[in-house]
Amino acid sequence: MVLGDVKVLVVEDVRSMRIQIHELLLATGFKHIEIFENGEAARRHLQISPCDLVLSDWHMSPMSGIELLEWVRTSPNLNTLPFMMVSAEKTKNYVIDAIKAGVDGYLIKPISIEQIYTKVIPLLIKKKVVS
Amino acid sequence: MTQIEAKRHAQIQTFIQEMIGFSDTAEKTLTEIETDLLEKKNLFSVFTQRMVAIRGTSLQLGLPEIAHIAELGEEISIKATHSDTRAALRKCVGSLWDAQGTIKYLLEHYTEQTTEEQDILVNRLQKTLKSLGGARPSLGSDDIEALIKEHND
Repeated sequence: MVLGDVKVLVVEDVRSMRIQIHELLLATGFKHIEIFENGEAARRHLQISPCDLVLSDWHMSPMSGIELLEWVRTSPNLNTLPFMMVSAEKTKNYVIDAIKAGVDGYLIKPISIEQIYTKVIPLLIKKKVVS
Repeated sequence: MTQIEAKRHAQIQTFIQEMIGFSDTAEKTLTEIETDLLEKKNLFSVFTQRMVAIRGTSLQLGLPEIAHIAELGEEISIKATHSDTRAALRKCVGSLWDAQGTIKYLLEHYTEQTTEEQDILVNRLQKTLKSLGGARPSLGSDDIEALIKEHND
């Protein structure tokens, strides 16, 4: 699979952030980007339509990023899905909770094209989503 | 205005519109907390989440002064959740009203330089946070990456 074929699911409750992340992903070569405002909406979508990568904010309601991650990791068909947190939350305890819950990567806002090249794409290669 | 500046301006306008909703929630929350400081201190978590959102988006939009005040507001609201005295809670509420009002003002006037008045506010928030025990330990990107690697290997 090439980058343009990867289906990315972005979960973010702040509209201005959604616009920014969408633009950054497009600029990096991603084409299939679906965006949801909270974990619950993303969860409902994932139940019927798979994706190749989740980029999720932490603090959202209903269903936070960590709750979505926990749900993904306990879902038989989704438990290996690459999942990255994209958050301004960098408190040690929160980060450790995300790691324990099985997060694959953690991007601290502000996110940049460079972070997508150095963190997101290598994860997709490591997980054999793209070659 | 260049095309890039115009785009950033449009993004900030979108954020300002969202901020109206954020401010409304934050102000209602603070008003509610003031009705019974000890009983309703858990509501500070609503404020914390708003401040995290404002901090993240401000950083993304290149508004570091706003992000800094939001960070101080976030940490003070966390301290408030764990405070047990009315005096400490009252101090937190006062600081959070200041932080909220200043963020709102700075966003609406984001092209202007920060003033001495805002510097005084930041100093006051920093002192309040220090008196409550300081900010929580946080991690940088490299630390986080190392932790994830350590956990997954």
